[in-house]
Amino acid sequence: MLAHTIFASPGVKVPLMGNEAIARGLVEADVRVLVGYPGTPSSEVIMTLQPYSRELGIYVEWAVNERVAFEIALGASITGVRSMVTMKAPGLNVTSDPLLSAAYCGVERGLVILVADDPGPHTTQTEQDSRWYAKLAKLPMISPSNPQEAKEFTKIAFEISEELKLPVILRTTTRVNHTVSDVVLGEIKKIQQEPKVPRDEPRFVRAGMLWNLERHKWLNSRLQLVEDIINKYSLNNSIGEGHLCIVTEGVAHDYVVESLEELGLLSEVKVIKLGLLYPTPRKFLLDNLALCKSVLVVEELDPYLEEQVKIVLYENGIIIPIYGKTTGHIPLEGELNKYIVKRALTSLTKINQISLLEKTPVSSQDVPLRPPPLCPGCPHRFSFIALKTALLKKGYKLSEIPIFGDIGCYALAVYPPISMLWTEHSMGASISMAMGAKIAGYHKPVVAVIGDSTFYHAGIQPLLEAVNKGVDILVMILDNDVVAMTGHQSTPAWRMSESGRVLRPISIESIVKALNPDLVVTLDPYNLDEMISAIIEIIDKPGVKVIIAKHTCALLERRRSIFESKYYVEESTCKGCKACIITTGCPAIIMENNVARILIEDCNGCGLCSRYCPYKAIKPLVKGEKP
Amino acid sequence: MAQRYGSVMGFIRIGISVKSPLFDPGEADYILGLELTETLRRLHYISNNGLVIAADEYKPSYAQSVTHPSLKAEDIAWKIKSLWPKTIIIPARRLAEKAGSIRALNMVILGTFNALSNLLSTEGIKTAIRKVLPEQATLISIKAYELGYLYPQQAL
Ligand code: SF4
Repeated sequence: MLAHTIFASPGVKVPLMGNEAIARGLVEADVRVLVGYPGTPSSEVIMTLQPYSRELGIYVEWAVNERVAFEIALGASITGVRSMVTMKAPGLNVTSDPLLSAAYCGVERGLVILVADDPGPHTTQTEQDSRWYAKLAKLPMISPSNPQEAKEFTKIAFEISEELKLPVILRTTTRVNHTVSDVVLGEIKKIQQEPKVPRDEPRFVRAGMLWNLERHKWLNSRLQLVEDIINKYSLNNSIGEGHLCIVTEGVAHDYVVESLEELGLLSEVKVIKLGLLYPTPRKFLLDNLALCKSVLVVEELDPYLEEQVKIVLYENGIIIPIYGKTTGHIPLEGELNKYIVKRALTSLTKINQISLLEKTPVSSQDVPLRPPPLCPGCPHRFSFIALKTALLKKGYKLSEIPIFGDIGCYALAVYPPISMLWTEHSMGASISMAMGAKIAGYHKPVVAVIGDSTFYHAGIQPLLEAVNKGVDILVMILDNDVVAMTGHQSTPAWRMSESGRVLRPISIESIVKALNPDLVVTLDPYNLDEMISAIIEIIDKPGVKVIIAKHTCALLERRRSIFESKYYVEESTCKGCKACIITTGCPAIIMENNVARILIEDCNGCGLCSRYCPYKAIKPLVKGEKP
Repeated sequence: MAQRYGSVMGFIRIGISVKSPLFDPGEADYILGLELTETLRRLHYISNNGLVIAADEYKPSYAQSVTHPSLKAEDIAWKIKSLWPKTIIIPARRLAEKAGSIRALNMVILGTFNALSNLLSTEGIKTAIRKVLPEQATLISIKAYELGYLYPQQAL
């Protein structure tokens, strides 16, 4: 977001991405602490405000993981300043321990947890429905439908949080975080925020069981107040009247309204939109459902609202048909779209199916998939090719050496032609799962591969465990000096953060050495032969062997113009054997008309492909020269 | 969404009342394709009166390079045109390079799109370019936009 939008005056209408709208909402709400861990689709909230951290007087930083981020924000909020913590859905799992305790101690100034779910999923390991966390942690949760609401709900979340003295969860989904639409800006308010740490042991110390019992009672009594408190913010609303009532929330609401409009049903159906997802707005739901003859619940992910609707109706002795995911009208997996909503609507109304599901003029074409590959020049490609070559040279079959992977760009090595990843599970799991395989008695070598940021996030304890228990594993830490996959955020190895804070760099090597494994070597994977010999030499040795493969992300190097030359394929020499593509899978090389071609604008000049051309057709290009 | 070198599609909706962020297959008034195979992949989004504007770029995926090494740009362009005759293929690389950088290829497409759709004011587009890009990139982008804008006239 541009500076003039961050500081623009109220009433101005600007196109903003959902996450930028949340960022502006934070400025309008005078938030002082904003922390999180990068994760699509949540990252842009922090990225938007980082450049203006000083001007705005906000602490905006990435933390080492979500849990630490949450605890920082909790501490700040208890000390009397408004705070937000941001994360993608799995980050909430990492945060769950302190989250549940936070409901018992509550907060002083507002604390809002932004969690971004990912129906689809587009970029997440599971289609986690974080709405259950609100129920589990007993914390109020609100959910916007679009960027304008994202901004408003951000501000409302702080108000509710302070009124209830509880953390509030602001829950979004990809299509809310990443949609860009017009947003009318609001007033930037300054509020008095005095740092003061309250001392109140029964409230803040969870060691006293009687205290905990009392706090649980306190928490339950706060939850009783929520529905009345939120009334003034019109988070929930309903439009239209009809025998069929639709209960919905988030972006699903927008699909419902548009589908009804297109089907000409808007005047016959009642749409009930919930902004408050927990605690269930019982009174509001009952008032609005009282006259309905049947209910369709349209929501993404799990049948969460569907269950709440059933509970409310049952409690009030209302027995009417309830359609949704349980009845198969709305799918249990994947994200929603208008088509799915229309299909459900037509099956429940008298609309003619044929007119609705018109055929598309062109049918969908069968085009080979294009999963994202490792980038041209990616140092991870060197690391994996070194590992593959070393294993083969050592006489192992690739099918007998399990490679436990982790979360980050390097997981793209699962795709052909590299195909060197057996698992990608959860942050940090590579090392502990590899250890488990060894303990289970797997007799061949096992390898764990983890990236630098993932190692800082959740890999340190697993390595400690492996060293402490003395297992035989090879750990490769692929250190590209950045959180690359989510858009190049800083790591604890940086000297200065994006918001200009001077950092004390903490190197991976110093951490690993402190954990004292049997062997540590740091190598540059661009020195492929060195990498290969090192792996050959140590793979069979006993103990925990750590290779730190250190080379900056190729895209960062490209931005810093480190690459001197690029490569090209001499057409007359190329025999079209595809060796270059099949060994590297580099997206800068394509086959066209039976010859290889290097896309000059994509080539990062690493030269790896030239090594594998049996005809020496791939040559370096002198700067400024045309192929 | 960061899907570097992957397949990316964006939905753009312009109008007084836009209710939801997505639309369905068969509903696109325009498809602007930056690459031919990706244009083909999304062709079922075109509506009955829709127009496809695509760059003549051919960047096959790994899978396609390996399984169909003999294909070339013209083959895919022909396939698209035979499925949807209301298609304009632009020599976008040539025009972008003429403007000063292959990276301005998207501006070439934008220019052609606006010349044919008349949906946006050229001044508005230029102002927007100036707002978000540094000076050198601004000049190249505007030039590329203009070359794209003029292309349909010259080609017909
Ligand atoms: S390896 Fe060499 S000969 Fe074979 S396709 Fe690639 S450039 Fe052509």
